[in-house]
Amino acid sequence: MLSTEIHEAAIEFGRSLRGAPALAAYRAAEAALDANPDAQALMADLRRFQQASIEAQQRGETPAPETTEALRRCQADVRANDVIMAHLRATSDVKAFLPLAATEVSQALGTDYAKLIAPTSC
Amino acid sequence: MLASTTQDPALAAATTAAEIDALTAGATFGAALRATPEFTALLGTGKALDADPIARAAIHAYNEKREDLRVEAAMNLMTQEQTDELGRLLEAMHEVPSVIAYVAATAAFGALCRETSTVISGLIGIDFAANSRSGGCCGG
Repeated sequence: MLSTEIHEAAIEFGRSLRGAPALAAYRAAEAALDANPDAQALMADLRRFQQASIEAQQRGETPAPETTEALRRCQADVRANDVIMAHLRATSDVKAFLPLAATEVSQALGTDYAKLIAPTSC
Repeated sequence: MLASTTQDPALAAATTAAEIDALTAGATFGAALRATPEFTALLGTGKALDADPIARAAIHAYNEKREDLRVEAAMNLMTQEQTDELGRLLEAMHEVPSVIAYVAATAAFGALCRETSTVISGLIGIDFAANSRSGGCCGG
């Protein structure tokens, strides 16, 4: 149970983060992707072809030519899809920004906050 | 700091200001965490641990054995005797009162930090803990 002080401090930090351009752009890109079934289907296809290719390689096999060709076509379609590319760029920006913010916390704290909160698998 | 993608100077300035606000809020939040009783306890138990020769000897013995067996452990080649000995040293380390206190303080502060992270994630709509290290949750 967090004390009132630390809960309020966390809320204040969260609100400030939420107002940062990287987070605002990410939310907008997420909403655009959610509203675009074609883009979602394209991403699902890309993951499926990538997974098939990885599984073939893990079995020591060369991916089937039709899988490779389907993956190549799908990658080209993804690159040409503005909604997906905007989402990927926004995700990349937010993943660059959040560690900066966590570093600010760590510097003021004097120990690695990101390491303290990392999922246990890490 | 992230580069702004806009060419509008006013918007670019606002972007920078919002980023600075968020980073400043991070520093304020870090200071608030530092002022918690849990962090004070962590510092105190850490100092006590450093000053305790029994704890230092137990930690050293465990670390030395673990380092000796690093390759065997990584390759899953440890014998039962080696596993048992490492386990005994770990147990001995965890029986030292100053170690017990430090481990408890670390767990308590870690739990506090994870709870704050949950609050932050809820506000920003993305898992802060999983995305707060460069290269993903495992760093890199």
